[in-house]
Amino acid sequence: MLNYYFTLAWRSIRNQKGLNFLISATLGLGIAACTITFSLIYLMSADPLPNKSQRIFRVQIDNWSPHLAAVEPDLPPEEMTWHDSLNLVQAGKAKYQSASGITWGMVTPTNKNITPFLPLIRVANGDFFSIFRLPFLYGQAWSNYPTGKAEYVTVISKETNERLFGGENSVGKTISMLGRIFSVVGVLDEWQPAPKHYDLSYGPFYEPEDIYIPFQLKYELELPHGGLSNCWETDLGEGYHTFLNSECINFQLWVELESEEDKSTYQAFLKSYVEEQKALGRFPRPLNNRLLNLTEWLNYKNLVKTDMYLFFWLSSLFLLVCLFNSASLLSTSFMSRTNEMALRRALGASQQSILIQCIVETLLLGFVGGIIGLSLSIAGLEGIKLLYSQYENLIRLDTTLISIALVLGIVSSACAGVAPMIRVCRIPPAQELK
Amino acid sequence: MMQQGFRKLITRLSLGPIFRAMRKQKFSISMLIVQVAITLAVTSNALFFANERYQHTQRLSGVDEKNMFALTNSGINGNFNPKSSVESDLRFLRQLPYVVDAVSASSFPFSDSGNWYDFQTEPGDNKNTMRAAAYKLDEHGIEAFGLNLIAGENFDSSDVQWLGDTDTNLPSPVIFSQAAAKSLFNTEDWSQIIGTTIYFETKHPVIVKGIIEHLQTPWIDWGPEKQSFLTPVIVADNSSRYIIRVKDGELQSSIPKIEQALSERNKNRIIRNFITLPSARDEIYGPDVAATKVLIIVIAVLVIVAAMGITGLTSFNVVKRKKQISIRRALGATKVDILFYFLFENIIQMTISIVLGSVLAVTFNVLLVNYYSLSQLPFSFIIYTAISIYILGILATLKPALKAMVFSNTSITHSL
Repeated sequence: MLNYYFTLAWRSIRNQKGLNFLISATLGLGIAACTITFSLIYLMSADPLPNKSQRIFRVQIDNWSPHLAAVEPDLPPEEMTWHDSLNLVQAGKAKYQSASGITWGMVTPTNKNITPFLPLIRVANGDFFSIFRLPFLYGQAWSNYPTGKAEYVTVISKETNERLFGGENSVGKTISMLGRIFSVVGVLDEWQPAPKHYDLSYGPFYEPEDIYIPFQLKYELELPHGGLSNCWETDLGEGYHTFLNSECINFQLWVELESEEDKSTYQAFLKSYVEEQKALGRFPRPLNNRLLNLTEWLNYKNLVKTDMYLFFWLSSLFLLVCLFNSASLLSTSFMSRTNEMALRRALGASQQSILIQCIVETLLLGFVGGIIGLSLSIAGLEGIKLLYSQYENLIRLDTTLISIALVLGIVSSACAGVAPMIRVCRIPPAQELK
Repeated sequence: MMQQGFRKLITRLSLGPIFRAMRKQKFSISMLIVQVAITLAVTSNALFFANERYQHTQRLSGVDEKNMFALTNSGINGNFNPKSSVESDLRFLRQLPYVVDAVSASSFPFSDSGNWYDFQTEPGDNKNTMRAAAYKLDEHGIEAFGLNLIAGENFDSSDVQWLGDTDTNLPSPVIFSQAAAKSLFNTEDWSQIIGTTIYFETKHPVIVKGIIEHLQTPWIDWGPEKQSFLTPVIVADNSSRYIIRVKDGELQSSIPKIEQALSERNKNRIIRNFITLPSARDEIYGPDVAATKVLIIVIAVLVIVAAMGITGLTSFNVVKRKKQISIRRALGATKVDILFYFLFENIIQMTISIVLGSVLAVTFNVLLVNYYSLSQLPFSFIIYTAISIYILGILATLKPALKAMVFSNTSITHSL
């Protein structure tokens, strides 16, 4: 029976090719607009580390000026000082803990065929790699070094390994950089987190650093302060180390905690640490520690820009316009066939079977609309990649996107079809057959 | 006389039949009206936000962008002496025939990196402060940026100091942008300002030496984007940035020449990160330009869909009312009457849509203002959009209405 309805629907769609194509295309346009904006928001707010984001915490303590909050209205600074970073990592109260920051420096390969280059470098503790699950191609990370004991070791990105060692297993080999000789302990596999959740200071779509070295080496090698740095004290004095010894902030501290219980223990530890420092005359502001997990942190940093929400609401209204448009087109299509419907009624078809025929036809149009919408979405997302080059790594087609488009097609055609269908079923056959 | 003419016009416009016909098609017509109303709401908001973005990208930087580029000079080994390298490079660059001037600067407009300082007119805590972005450069800065000094004097070479990268000290004197000076002193009488001692970071004195007309901060979305100042500092670090201004039309040809010449002059460093100011501008405004494009695409597609809706419905009506039209023609209605009939019907529908759409546009905008702190839609944008929608409605009706106009009265009455 359903087969019969499909045949009928298909036949009438073919009879009014132009009009029906218009209906599907209109629906498709609306669906594409919604799918594109929705998937951008969805991809942007996707969980960067499934099963783990709730257990990774950004540590914030408030060492800011007595006169001024670090972040309006009354929030603690987002980064941390050099000494607090060292102390909190050294204390080792979390399962994993790593302070890190961005710097840069010259790599001067001993092989004269490779020109020297100036990569971005991340100074980090060894735990950084396990907290953020960095994939290793060869070797492994170093473990957190006790204060004053760091060695000249490095983990390099896959790309850097290609550049310096032609892609071979370089674990155990040495690199001459920053005026020292470093030995390679690990080589990363492809790793392009989008957004760059562990450090948003250069924007959410900035490339990961090329080279990783132990956190403490920054002091020893007097490496520059990349990322965001900020100071509130006025008389810093001169010299490289004054910055690191001051209340200036530049480093991000992330910890991994297993349970709610661990979280409260860690909070208690932070509180006692800040009180200890207050006794030493630091931390002039009231106690203001914050421990946001990765998901909360990304929400706090407003990763999804207002633009995206604006586009989303505009495109939803756009879909609505398309729905009204297809509703009136559908009504036109049904109304122009009242003769045929009346004839079928007169020959014994019930009101219900007319309705089913209309439903099948509408849903078929909706399905075609969904497919058109999906193709337009794919094209549109490619266009978005061209317009916003930073979304290159973010945008990918997944099953969610495909199902959104198809479901939206069916649902919206059903919405658009309801009123016209009811109208056409109500038509008394006799009047039309006169 | 006048009144009679008006009554005649009303009769000719056949208001009665129009309303009776519209009532018969409640469904299709209300679909159309709602559709056009939402189109108005979306289009006026989208147009407004697109325009706002566009204006944002068109703000002036104050520098001679089209003739400027920047590069970074980085030492690669222990033999590199930052100070002597900067001195000799700048001396070399400044004597090149196609170079207007060159300078070593901490930052430049669109570079998105730099420092800011807080200034106040009296020393001490808890005073009103004015925040301004720093451009650390020597006495060639004004010429190399193409700035316009409107009061006071430029730096002397004796003012210039060499400081480390992390040194936050500022030597005296400073040169303020007009906006920064106005905000700090609350006056435009520059003679009162030049030579005044002011304080940075609560207590350190500096003297104001000059005022430049305009210089945008290195960050485009920073609150006080016109508040900046020049300070006579050269940062002597392993890496330093040169800003070079060339003569008109020499930008593209000069870059490779300068790159080669600098690389050959000193082998203990590398020259990298060449960027012209026009491309730095494009890069930093990229998201705004992209947003403008997305909004314009939304408007265009929406207008096409709405126009299709209007044309579709009118065509359908023309076909459906063939009989009615030919009877009216037979009874003496002229072709123009028929055309006006459809146009007038459209204008009535559009008017209802526009009233409804204006309400929707304002509601939608109020929600956006409340939830996403976007700007408030000025009423003028609704009016522009409404006028465009009237025109669109007439254009979309024209084709089917013209078709109706040429129905021959005889051929159709035959079939009756």
